[in-house]
Order: sequence, then C-alpha cells, then structure tokens
Amino acid sequence: MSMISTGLTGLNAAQMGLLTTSHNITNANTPGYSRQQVIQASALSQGTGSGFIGQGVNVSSVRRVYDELLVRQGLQAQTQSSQLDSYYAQIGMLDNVLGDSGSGLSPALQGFFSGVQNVATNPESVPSRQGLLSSAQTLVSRFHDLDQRFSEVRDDVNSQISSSINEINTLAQEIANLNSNIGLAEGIYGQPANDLLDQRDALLLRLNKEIGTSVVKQDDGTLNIFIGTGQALVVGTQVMTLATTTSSDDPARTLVGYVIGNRTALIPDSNLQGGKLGGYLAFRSNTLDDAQNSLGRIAIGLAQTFNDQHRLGQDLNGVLGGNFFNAPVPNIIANTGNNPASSISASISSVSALTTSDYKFSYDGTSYTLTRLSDNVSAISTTSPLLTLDGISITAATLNANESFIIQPTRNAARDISLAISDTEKIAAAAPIRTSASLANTGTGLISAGSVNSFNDKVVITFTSPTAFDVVDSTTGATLATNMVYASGGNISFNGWTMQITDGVGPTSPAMGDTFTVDHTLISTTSSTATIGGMTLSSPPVDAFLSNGVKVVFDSAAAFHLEGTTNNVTGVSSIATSAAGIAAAALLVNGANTAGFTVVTANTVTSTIGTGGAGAYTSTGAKITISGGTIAGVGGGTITVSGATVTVEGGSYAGSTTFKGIDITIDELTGVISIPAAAAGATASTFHGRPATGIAYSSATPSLISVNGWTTQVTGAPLAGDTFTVTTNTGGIGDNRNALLLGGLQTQNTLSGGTASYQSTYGQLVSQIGNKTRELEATSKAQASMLVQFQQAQQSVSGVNLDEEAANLLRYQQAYQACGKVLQLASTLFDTLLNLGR
Amino acid sequence: MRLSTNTIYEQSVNAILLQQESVQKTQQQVATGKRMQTPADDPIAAARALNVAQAASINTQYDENRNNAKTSLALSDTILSSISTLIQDVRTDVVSAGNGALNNSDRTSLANTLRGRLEELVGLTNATDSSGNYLFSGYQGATKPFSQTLTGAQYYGDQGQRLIQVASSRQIALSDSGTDIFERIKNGNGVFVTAIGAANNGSAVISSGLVADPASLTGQDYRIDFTVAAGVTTYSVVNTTTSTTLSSNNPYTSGSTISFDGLQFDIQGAPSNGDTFTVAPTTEPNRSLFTTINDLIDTLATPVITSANLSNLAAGLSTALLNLDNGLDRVLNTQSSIGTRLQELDSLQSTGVDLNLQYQQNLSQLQDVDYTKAISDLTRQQTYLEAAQKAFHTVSGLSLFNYL
Repeated sequence: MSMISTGLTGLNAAQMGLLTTSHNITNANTPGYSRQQVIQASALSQGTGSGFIGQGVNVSSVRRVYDELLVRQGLQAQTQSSQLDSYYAQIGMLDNVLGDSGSGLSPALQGFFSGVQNVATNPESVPSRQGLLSSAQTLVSRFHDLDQRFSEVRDDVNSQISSSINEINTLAQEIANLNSNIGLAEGIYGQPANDLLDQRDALLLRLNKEIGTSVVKQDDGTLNIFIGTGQALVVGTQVMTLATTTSSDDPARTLVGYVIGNRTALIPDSNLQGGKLGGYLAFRSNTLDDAQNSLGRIAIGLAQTFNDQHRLGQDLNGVLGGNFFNAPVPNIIANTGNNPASSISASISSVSALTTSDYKFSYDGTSYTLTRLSDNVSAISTTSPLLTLDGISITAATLNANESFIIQPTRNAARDISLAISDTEKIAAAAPIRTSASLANTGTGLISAGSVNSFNDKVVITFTSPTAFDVVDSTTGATLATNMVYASGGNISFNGWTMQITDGVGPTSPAMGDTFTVDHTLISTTSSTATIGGMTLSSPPVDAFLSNGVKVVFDSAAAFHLEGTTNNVTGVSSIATSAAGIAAAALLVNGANTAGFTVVTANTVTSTIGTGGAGAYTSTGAKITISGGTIAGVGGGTITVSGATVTVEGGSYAGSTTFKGIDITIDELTGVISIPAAAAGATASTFHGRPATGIAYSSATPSLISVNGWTTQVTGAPLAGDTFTVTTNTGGIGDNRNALLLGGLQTQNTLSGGTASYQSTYGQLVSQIGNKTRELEATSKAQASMLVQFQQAQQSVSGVNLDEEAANLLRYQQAYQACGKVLQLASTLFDTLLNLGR
Repeated sequence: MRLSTNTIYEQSVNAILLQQESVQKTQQQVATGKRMQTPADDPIAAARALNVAQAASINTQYDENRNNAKTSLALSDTILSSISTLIQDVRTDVVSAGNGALNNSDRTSLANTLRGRLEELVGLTNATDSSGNYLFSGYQGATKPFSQTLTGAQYYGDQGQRLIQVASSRQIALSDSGTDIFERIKNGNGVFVTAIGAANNGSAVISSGLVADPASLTGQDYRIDFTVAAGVTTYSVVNTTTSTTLSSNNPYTSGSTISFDGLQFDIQGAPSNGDTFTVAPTTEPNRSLFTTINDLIDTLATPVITSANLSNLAAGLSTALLNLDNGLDRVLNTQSSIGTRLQELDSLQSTGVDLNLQYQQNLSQLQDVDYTKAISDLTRQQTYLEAAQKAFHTVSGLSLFNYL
C-alpha cells in the first residue's frame, strides 16, 4: 500500500511542479512577476526495527523567489530616476525655447539697437524712426512670446502636479485594498499569497514613479507607506488622501496638501521628494521661477534704463522725451488671510540692484520684515514700514499683525513690458540743450556739446561750511559745482532731484566736512547729526531750470562766472518781487543762490535818483549812469526809467523807483543795488549780475561746469570778455546726441549691480538653463543606468528564464513519468500477490 | 549570473535604442550644420556664441554707420571744394581790382560780378543732403542756415555738430556748423585794428598788422603821431587809454616794422607833419565770409574821386584780401579735417572687416559642426547600430524550446 501512496505523493508533487512551471512560463512577461518555486520535502518516514522507511514527498509551499533588499533598492532608484526624468523633460522645453537662434531674445535685442543706431544716423528721418518703433515692437513681442512659453510650461507643471496627485491617490487606494486581501488570503491558508504580493509590489513601483516613499512591513504582511519626511500615505488598509490647492500667497501656484475633513493641510514643496511629482516641484522652484524672473529682470532693466535716458532727450516736437517703454511694475500678492483693506506698494528704486528672487513683506505686530526668499536675508524695521532691499522699496499703510505679501518684482515683467509711444515724433533723439561760443570771442576757448545730467548719476555733496557746499561727481571725481549756498531748511537740487537736509525731525544745517553721497535713491552720509530727508524727483526727472539759458562769461583768462541769458523774474536769475528788495543779482542755480551774489534784504537808504534826463546821477554812495531813455516822475515819489541802460557802480542805491523793461548791469565788485517791488503790470527788467569772485578756470585742467541739470566743459584758452552760451535746443531735429547715448546702452553694464549688459544677462540665463539641462541629462542617464542595474539584479533573482523553465518542464515531466512507473510497479507487485492465489 | 529572459531582451533593445539616439543626434548635426542643437549641448559655448553674435551684429551696424558717414562727409567735402574755388576766384578779382589802370566803371562791373558770386556762395552754404536736410545748420537740419542780408548773411543754425558711432569707442563728426566754417573767420589779425587819421594829408598807409607777442597785449588804445621837421620824419607812440607816451622821436623809414606792447605793423609812404594813425582793440574779432565779400562789393562800388577815397579803396582791398585768405584757410582747414576723418573711416573699415572675419570664425568654431568628424561618427554609429541589431537577432533565436 505504502508504495502506491508514496508514488502518489511524487505524482502530486510533479504535477504541482508542472503547474508552477506553466504558471512561470505564462507569466514570463507579466510586470512585477516573480518566478515561483515548489518547495518540496520528504514526507515523515515510518520508523521500523529495520530503520526508517520513507513515505514519499510533501509539497510544503509554493513560494516566489524574491529578494526584498534588491526590490527596495530598485524602488529607490526608480523614484530618483523618475524625478530626474521629469525635471529633465521640463527643463528641456525651456532649453529649446531659449537656445533657438531665431526665436530667442538675442536677435530681437540686436534688431532693436540697430534701429536706435539708424535713428542716430538719420535723426530727422521718419522711416528710420518708424524702423526703430517697429524693431521695438518686435522686441516687446519677443519678450511676450518667451514669457508665454514660460507660462505655458508653468501651467503644464500645475496640471502635471494635479494628475500626479490623482495617480498617487488611486495607487494608494489599490495598495490598501491589496493589503486587506493579502492579510485575508494568507490568514486563511497560512501560505504566501504570491501573486497578490507581486501585484502589490508592482503598484508600489508605480507609486514610486510618482513620488518617493518609505515602506514599513508589518507582521501581518501589510505594508505601511510614508511619503516626504514621514507623512503617512497608506497605513494598513487606511488611506490618506492628497489634494492640490492654490497657494494663499500666489494663486498661480498649485500646492499639495492632505485632505483633513473639509480642508487641506499644506505639505511644503521641499518635503515632497522623488518621483515625477518631486521632479515637477523641484523644476518649478529651482529653475522655472528663477528663469522667468531672469527674463523679467532683463525686460524691466531694459525698460527702466532706456526710459531714464530717453526722458533726458528731446523729441522732434522740441519737448522732453517721455517713457519709451511702459516699465513693468512689481507684482504684489496679498496673502488670502489678509484683511482686504490692507495694502502695500512696491517700487523699483534701482534696477541694477535687482535680483531674480521673489520677496516677502510681513508684519508681526511689532516689526516689518522684507525677506529675500532665495536665501531668507531680511531687512527689518520696527519703526516704519518703509523698507528697501535689492533696489525694491516697499511702503505700507496700516497693517494688521501677521499679514504678509509676496512681492514678485520681475516675475511678470516680460509679460507686462509694452511700448509707450507709437508716434515717430516722440522718439527723443536730440539733447534738450545746445552750446555755442560767441563770434565776438577773442580767445581760443571751445565749449563741449554738453549733456543732460541723469538722476542716476551719483554725486558727492561736501559741505565746506554750514552754509556752503561743493558738488563732485562720485564716479569721475570731477568738481561739478563749488560754493553753492545752503540755508537751513532749503532745498538742494541737482540732476533732477530735490532733497532736504534734516536731523531726522526738522531742517538742520550740517557741519563743515559733512558729505552726502546721493543719486535719486539717497545713498549715504558721513554726517553724525544730519541725514538726507525726503527726496522728490522732478517730473520729468530733469532739473527744473534745464531750459533756462545760461551764459558762461570769462572775466579773465583764469576765471569765469555764470549768468542768465534772460535774467528776469522768470529766468535763471531772479529778482525778488517782495517789498524787502530785490535779490540783487541773485543768480539762482539749481534753485540755490550761487556764491558771491548778495541778497539785499531791506531798504536802508532813501535817496532820489536825480532830476531827469539821461546822464550820471549820484545817490547815496552810488554812482548811477543812465544812458539814453527818459526818466519820468523826478523829484521824489515813483520814478519810471524807460528804455534806458542803468549802470550802478559802487555803494548802494535804494529808492521807490519803478524800472520798466530796462537793461540793468550791476557790477558787484563795486556795487549793490536794491530796487523795490516792481509795480503791478511792470515789464520785467533784464538784469545781469556778476559775482564778486568768479570761478577759477585753468586751461590745463578745465573742470566741468554743471548747473541747471546739464554739464558742459570749456577747453582751450578763453580771454576776458569771451562768452559761451547754453540754451534750449530749439529746432534741433538733426541732433542725435541722445540717440547715441541710447545706442550706447546696448553694451553698457546696467544690470546685476553694474556687471552685466542686457545681452550678457540673457546669455547668463541661457547658459544657466543649458548647464542645468546638461547636468540633468547626465544625472538622469546615470540614474537610469543605475536603475537598469538594480532591475537586472532583481530580475536575475526573480525573473523567469524560459530555458530554465523548459528544463523544469522536462524535469517535472520525468518525475511524473517515474512516479507513474512506481505506481505501475506497485500495481504489478499487487498483481503478483493476487496471482499467487490462482 | 542568472539572467531572466526579459533581461536578455531588454538589454538588446536598450543597446539598439542607445545607438539609434546617437545616430539621430549626429544626423541632426550633419543636417543643420550646427554642433549644438540646444544650449544644453554646450552651455558655455552657447552663451559665448550669443555674445559673439551680438558683437558681430554691432560691428555690422558700425560698418553701416561708417558708410553713411563717408557719404555725408564726401558730400560736405564736395561743397567745400566748390566754396574754396569760389573764394580763390574772388581773391583773384580783388588782386585785379588793385590794378591802378581800372576806372570806376570797371570796378562797378567787378562789384556786380561779385554780387553774383555772393549769391552763389549763400546758395552753396545752404546745400542739402540727399534727404533734403541742410548740411551746415548744426542740429537744425530743417532750418535754412544762411539768408542774405544787406550787410552779408544771417546765420539761423546753431553750433551743433552731429556725431556718429563708427567704432565701439569712437564717434566721428558727421557735420560741421556753418557758423564755424563761414563766420568764425579771423577779422584781420583778430586782435587789433589800425586806422588812418581822418585829417591826414600825407600818402602814408598803415598795414593791418599782427600780434607778435600775445602775452604783452594790453587791450588799450594807441596813437602814432608823425612829425616832419627839416625833412626828417619822426614819430612817437602814445597810449591814449593811459595818456602816456611810450616812445618819441623815433626815426621813420617807409615800410619798416613798428612794434610795441606785443603789436606789430608797418607804415608805408610819406606821412605829412601832424599825420596820425590809431591802433585800437578790435570790436569784431571775427568777420563772416559774407560780410567780407559784401564789404568788398561796397568798397568797389564806391567811386574813387578824392585821394581819401583812394586810400580807403587800398585799405578796403587789403582788408578784403587778408580776410579772404583767412576765410580760405578756414574752409581748407575744415576740408583737411574732413579728409582726416575719411582716412580714419577707411582704416576703421578695414579693421571692421578683419573683426567681422574674426567674429565669423569664432562663431563658426563655437557653433558649426566638424563635418569630417560628424560623418565619420555617423558611419561608426551606424556600424554599432547594425551590430546591435544583429546581436539581438542572434540572441533572440536561442531558445531551449526549439529543441523540445
């Protein structure tokens, strides 16, 4: 009997072996399938006095050939590889957009500046000007196109994040289901549920393609799955659902969070590593934001610097240039938790200081903080919401505690830049001033063409006494103005800005030796007591006196003075019309009195001018010469001098005299005149002043002359009496000075703190993206081959080899046949016994 | 190592895919002629190529600017050549007008000829370029620079000079202001004027003189008083501003140089006793070419009747001659300055051509594919691909099931 049963066990075992082998062969191509083996052992032998007699074979289990360590390593490699692949795929799109020699920014930028050069060559030509406007429009469109591509990539990333989250949720649910099924199946049979386990491993692999996980196996065979820094995704049969939501700081940003009840608890991007999702998030925060900001920075930099220069020029109609581009403004996003009434305003005070980072402005109830998000460097103030960092100035009205704003100074700039002018006449190719040398000059002095000061030019104001200061160009060190008169509380104007000196509360006078370094952004001071008060920029940002004609008159070969060409009440010089007396020859330069001119403040002497007619008259201490003209109303009372030239020498003159439309020359070397207020309706008198001490001139080192917002230089050897004139450039349609300066911006280093031009900033962006793409290409390839190695290692253990299975088929077939023989033999033996009785 | 059947297939397929990718990449390089398909292929070269391309584009722009400048300058040069010929013609007329054989009507007809020349000169100075903009009006291209007046011509332009960028650090003047060429012309010596006393009886004339020593100039008025006693002519020099006598009883020789306080001139002819000459600082250091010719016309049109008329004619002609020479100098100076500029443009242009070649070479090195290498790569990669395919074919045919 036992031989039959022994043979039968073998027959069964061989059958199981054949079944398992067939299962292996049929599943050779099933993803995640691990080959299965029949585990057989000899059955318990029967002990007899003669020894233990074997009872056949037992199939103890069918198990899969499986190496947990190799599978785990494969999962890790897979999640890394998926992250790098998705990062690489996304950045590849940017790389293609930027590098295209036809559609990149470079050709448009070059075309634009060619347009500027053509206007410089033919400033009066309408076709040239139209060409510039067209190439400017092309440039602006190119910015828009590139930004559009970036935005498409951003939208794509957002939707990929959403679909990735859906996939993760589905997979998590399926894994939880399998956890439950496996527990159930293994509980019933006490045997490993091989195919369910393989299915779960396959799902786990797919999950790892989406996001990096860590897996903890439980005693009951279920798997707990965690993502990020330990956030549970699957615990036994429980699933935590993930969801996407828009950022409260930035509605254009899709974020990931847990669904808890009816709200979503955010998971920081940096906590979601690995898989496609990790790749998208890393691409967005490490590359896309920075790249779009870089492009925006070029747009904003170009718009602002070009505008700044353009506004210093004069257009075909003879008026000061306006903005050429509409400069983009910083994007401010209020946190959705803020009170809707709270707001801040942000402006760009210095484009060269701009970075590619975004910023956060927050108020915690006591202090205001402006943080650069790229490296969390902050500017903090507890007193005032006025904060400046990296050329961005923030001001805020009343804020509530714990309110915050995200400031994106450059994010949308490439989208928002546009052309501000469409009229060819509005291109400011000319400079608003021109210079000339009098034909009556006897010396060989020449005057330079002159240029308009920019409010971006940095100057150092040094106080030589509490009431006088010098102005020096901070870059070249050239002296621009000396002995400017300062009165406490008065305005200091230069280069198109006006500021006050304060002690933090009210007006003050600085001490001798104090210096203030200023451009329109108020830079620094060495004074221990005084600071720079509020600064205002003229609109347009040029000196208010820019259009006033000024004469440079040489008193000797070594000294000159400045005077207005039309020194009347509206001119550069001004006659005060108060009853206190005229500001005698007060030549207002940049709104401040120049040294050497005296303001007579009171009528101290009363006298009469004479008895009538042309001639020389002597009043108290003064000699007055009237040549030509008539004098009416003599002998006290109001005297009217008309059509005459009045010269006052020595002493002073005062009287209730009305001068109408006359030419008065005052030589302050010898005399001061004070004249009461002009009667109502009086014609403004022309009034020439001359200071007691002129400005020293040396032909060896001719210094710059900078007043009224322009700068020029006289060179050569002028002689006494030589005059040079600076006036408005009326009719200067053939002038191209401003166009030349605009053209020069192409190669000027205006961005990144004055280290990069527009083109090189773009080049940086291209090489940055190119390098990162190249790096990702290499690392993703390396990771992929690593993944292949792990897969091969795993396959070498668990994969089905058909040749091997063919051999197994033969093996089990032979075993089956052999066992059959055993049965046959047993039967024959039995027959032998039966035949014995016949 | 144990291999699974899947691994065997995957490995073969991966090998084929890898080879296909490199074949495709090389093929693209050959097709486009570009080494880099995207910046990622060589990020540093890509960024450099952008910068070199900008430099090349700027260089091309400068070349265009230089050609424009050459056209404009050549036009100005042509006009100025005509003007200098005109001045030389007028000068010849002045010399011939000094011929004593001419009578009043000859001089009148000469004056009429010169009126025509003056109009021609005004016409020439109002020349325009091909787009109708005036050449000599400074910044005011649409403003006609000169318009004839009773005393010469009035200038309506300004002293602006248009520059053009012709190299990265060089701007060259494209135009010259009319006032600088035709008006800023030294009047006589430009510092002082000499005059014959109104009551002189002698035939002596005084030259317009020159500045011998600019440092000694005083800017004061002087008078030369002649005394003829016993056939001996002497003179004294008086500073009339300070009323001091500088020297007296100087012996007089006709034509010899008289100099004091940095001034230098001579007196020719025979002065009578009591004749005076005055020397005073000029009130008109510059005189325009138009005024000079206009004055010349007036001088020639004035009939010579008295001996004073004759002295005035002589004085007028000599002033005109001097001022015409000064004017010619000015025009020729401008022409030579234009010539220098044209020369500089030529040399800049040849530099520009060299630079362009350099940029193109540089760009080509950075961007272009090396065809020899690319094609040999392509052939090699094709061989690899074929080998991989063959290997796949061979391996896939190996199966134990074939023998069952």
